[in-house]
Amino acid sequence: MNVGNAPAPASTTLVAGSLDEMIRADYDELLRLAEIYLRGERSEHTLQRTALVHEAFLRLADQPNASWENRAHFLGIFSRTMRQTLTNYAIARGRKKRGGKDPLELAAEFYESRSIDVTHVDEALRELEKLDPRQSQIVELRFFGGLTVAEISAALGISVATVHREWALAKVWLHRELSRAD
Amino acid sequence: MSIDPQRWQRLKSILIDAFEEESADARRSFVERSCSDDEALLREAESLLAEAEVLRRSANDDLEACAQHAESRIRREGGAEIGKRVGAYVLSREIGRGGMGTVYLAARADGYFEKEVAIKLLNSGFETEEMVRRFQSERQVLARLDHPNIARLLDAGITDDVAQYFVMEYVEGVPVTHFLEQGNAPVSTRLELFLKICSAVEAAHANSVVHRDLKASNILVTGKGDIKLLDFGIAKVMLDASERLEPTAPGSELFTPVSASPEQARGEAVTQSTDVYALGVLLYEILSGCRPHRFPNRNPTLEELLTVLCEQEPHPPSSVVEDPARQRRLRGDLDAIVLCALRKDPAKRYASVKSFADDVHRHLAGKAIRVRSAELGYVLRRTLWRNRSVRFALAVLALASVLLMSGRFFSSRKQAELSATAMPPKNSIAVLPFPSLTSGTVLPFESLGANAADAYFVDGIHDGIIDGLTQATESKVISRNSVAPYRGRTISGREIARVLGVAYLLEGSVQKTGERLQVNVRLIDPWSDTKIWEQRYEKKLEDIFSVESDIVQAIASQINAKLSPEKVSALAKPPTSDLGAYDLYLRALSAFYERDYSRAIELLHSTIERDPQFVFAHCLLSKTYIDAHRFVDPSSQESLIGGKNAAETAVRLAPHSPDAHLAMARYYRATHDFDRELAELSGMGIPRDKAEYTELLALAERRHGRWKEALRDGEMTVELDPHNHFTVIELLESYIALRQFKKAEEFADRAIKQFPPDYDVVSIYRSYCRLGLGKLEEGRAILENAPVRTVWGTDRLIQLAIFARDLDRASALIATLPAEKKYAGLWEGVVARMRGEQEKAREYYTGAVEYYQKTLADKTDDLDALSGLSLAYAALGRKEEAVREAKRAVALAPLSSNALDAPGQMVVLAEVYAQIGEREAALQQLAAAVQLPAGPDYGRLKFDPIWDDIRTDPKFQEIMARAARPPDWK
Repeated sequence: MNVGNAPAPASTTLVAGSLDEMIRADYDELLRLAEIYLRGERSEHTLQRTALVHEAFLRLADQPNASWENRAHFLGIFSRTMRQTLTNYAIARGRKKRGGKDPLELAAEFYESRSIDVTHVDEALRELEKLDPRQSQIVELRFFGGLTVAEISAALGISVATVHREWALAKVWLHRELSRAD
Repeated sequence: MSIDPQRWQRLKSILIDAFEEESADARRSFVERSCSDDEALLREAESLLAEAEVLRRSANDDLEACAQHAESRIRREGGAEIGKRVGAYVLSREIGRGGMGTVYLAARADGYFEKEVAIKLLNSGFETEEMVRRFQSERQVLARLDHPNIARLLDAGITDDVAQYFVMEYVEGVPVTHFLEQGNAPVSTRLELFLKICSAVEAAHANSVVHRDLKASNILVTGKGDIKLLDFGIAKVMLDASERLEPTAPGSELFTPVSASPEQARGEAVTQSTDVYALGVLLYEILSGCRPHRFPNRNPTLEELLTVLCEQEPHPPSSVVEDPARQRRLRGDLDAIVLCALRKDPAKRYASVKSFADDVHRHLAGKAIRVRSAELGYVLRRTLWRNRSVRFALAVLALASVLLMSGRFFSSRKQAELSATAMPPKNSIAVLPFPSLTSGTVLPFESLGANAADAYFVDGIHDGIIDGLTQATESKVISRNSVAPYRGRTISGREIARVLGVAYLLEGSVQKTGERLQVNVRLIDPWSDTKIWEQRYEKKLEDIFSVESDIVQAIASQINAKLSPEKVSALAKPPTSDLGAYDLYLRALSAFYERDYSRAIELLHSTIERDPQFVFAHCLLSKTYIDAHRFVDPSSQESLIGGKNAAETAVRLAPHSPDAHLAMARYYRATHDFDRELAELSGMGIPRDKAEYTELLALAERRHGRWKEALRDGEMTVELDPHNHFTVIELLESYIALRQFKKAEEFADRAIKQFPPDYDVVSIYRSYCRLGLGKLEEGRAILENAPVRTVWGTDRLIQLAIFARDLDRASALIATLPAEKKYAGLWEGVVARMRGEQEKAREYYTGAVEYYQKTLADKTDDLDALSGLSLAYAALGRKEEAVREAKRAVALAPLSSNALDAPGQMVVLAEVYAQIGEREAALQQLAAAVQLPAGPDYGRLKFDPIWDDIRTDPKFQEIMARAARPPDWK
């Protein structure tokens, strides 16, 4: 219940709520997030909405410790899933525009507009993970998961300033790796 | 790549420092200087620095843009504001939304302070002048209030886009009613919590602030058990009559409709009396779990609201609760207090929050409440009762177990599992409580008690199945105690199974119509969430026992549990042939579990009158008497004799019944006859309540120094009955006695979650573990920082303060002890002597001698009193008397039958010798005691000032060394 001074709890009602409630609330959030992502899901897309939810649910159930840990765990799984989804989609999509309002397609178009090859980011992150797992996780949460610096700070239980620094340095490193890849 | 993780960390910190430099040149030369010893690192650093310079000059940060795009993909509530900077803070998450604004969690943008705050932003798009005025009014209100139970205002201002905000203390907690639902908090705890709320509201009123929207969701209970009042969003500052008190049009007032007062609904003037009403609504909810009013729908129209609030009288809280014990508790005083606060006419309510709170205080203290003072006979009854309970209270205070008494045998549903094993054994099962009968069923025994709830019958069958499974199979069957908290469960079966450590769950329901009985049971594997087996039994009422034994056999075969054939046939045999007697027995059982001992005893006497051969009824009668002796009136000999007679009758009727011998053993334990207790328990077989059997066995073994068995049986008890505070604490004590401090701490950490937040018992034991490991200050810190402190905790803290020679702290703590504890630890005398105040010490010890002599006149074999007396004599220099009394205590607690107390008494004798200058004798006692479990621990020898004169003696040093490395007694 009391998780020390740094990490933010999931919400006021979640903090002291039962594990069950915690899961339910995160589950709802997961559903909501998954829904955004998987709305207009296509056949080439293998990730089933239920599978995503189920997996996260099971992993959460195994980790009933502190609420912020659960939250971090969930957001971690979510961001990891996003990373895999976006990377796989980029590979399957190739360089062709598909059109349409599919959120995945919109994301892919945005990367293209910024000349970012997601598959290269994915590969570079694998290298960074060997050097600095936490830093690579921050990138995953921020770049793929779309979490704000404050949200990452809350989820990982580290200060906003630290997240800022790590993210800023990681960007420098990634920029260099990406320019090497090109 | 030439960089390894370690060098990467170094590289990162070099680059971070380099970025602090003003110019590109300065940055480069900083990097060169820092990496001068490492060529590869320098190359890497230069490469990254160059990249950073490019990024710095470029207007486009593509990675940042992609991250921001990713941010926008997630739809957040109030998402536009997340990440926004407000004053010195960055908003991180929405945590609430009200009529006035949205509340966010935020942290300082510079990351310097990790403390989080709540920021309330005025809802954008709604900035009417009225709202801005209100918003400012709340700021003004909060700025006036500085009270520990009211969330503090830290800062306020206007954002860049002209939204008003204020920064408040962020409170982590749960709404008060939600908090109470989680546990089986007794009414007294609920009232105490309510009184804390009253004091915060009173403080607001003292500052001319009326909250006007007091409700459970605005009152949080923090992790430390403190109350925090939030949301003064529609609070009103009432300076004086001339201040604008503009009448608002009916319905335009902002409030929460379902908890509003009649005057708010009518749009009339709002006064402090409105908060009295709201507190009445809250107390109603705190006591009964329900709101006082029922509305036709969630968002009633003004008309519906007026009808309900202004015309309908709420039912008394006692009439809406289901639990008969709770009904009785609420009937009378509490009904009257709540209904007075809820009166429609503000003039007829309590005149102030203070007078409301006063009546609650009076009720808690057992005094006559004001609101009922007009009732004839009431005051007289109250006064008599009060005198009785004061006497009881004094008697009970003598027991350390007083802390465990408040009816909180069961812990809250939120649980940490106590069993260390990851996967439960295959044949382990918890039989969850059956829901009560559906209404409309016909009760066959109506004549036995009007209005009797039918739950007792269902619980009786539930009990029968648990007992049957326990006796006839070798499975781990969770005791009734520990399945009881899952009645009407809201958490998943898997979670229950995890907490209880079982492979299977059994659920069921019972329906009784006339003479027909229908029992449905379902066996579930919660781990795979599959139903394994399901069966419906439709029988005649008289076949109840065969139904129970059928169910037990079916389950045993389903979970592959070994069945003992003779046990099964014994099970099918009715415990009584008189169904009427059985019905009475079940009612008594239910009263017993509600701790209504006098009613249980009454019912059992009627049971036995109908069927004098009913063995279980005699056993339960004995148990009820003994528990009444333990928990209600330890000075009552009547209860003890009643317990003895009933147990003896049971043994006479059924010499081979384990339950009868268990009853006998329980009686011997109550009389501290541990030899006979152990004799009864040995070889008697498994009774119906196996958890109680293993508990008593563990305690008896411990007393006889059989620690290995005691640990085994104690651990087994906790497995079977993990929600029982007593057994948890008993096991903790055993670990500590064996100086297995690490194990004790681990166990305490797991156990602490199941104790209500107003207990410090686990903190006390944890502080002992630290002390035992020689970490005095850590032990003190645990107790100093414990969220609550009982008298027991204070007592321990005084001892530790003395050990730390922190006499000022010790004196301050001593001053908080209740009068009857004046001589409990002889602390005042110890401190006076350490301060060199000999005269004061002498006076105190003389008082102590008198006090303990008086105690011993009533109870000649009281070990605590003998210890106190002998130490007081020693302090006064009355050497012979001191040694005589201390030796008498040693003789009363022989090692052979009281291995738990014996070493402690040896230490007291050593303390006496040390004080009167008999160094060798003291060392001799200590040397013997340190070899024993429950003997002196390392910290006590190292820090207790009583050993100051002999501590440097090499023999003492050797004793200390032994204490630091205790043998493995197992």
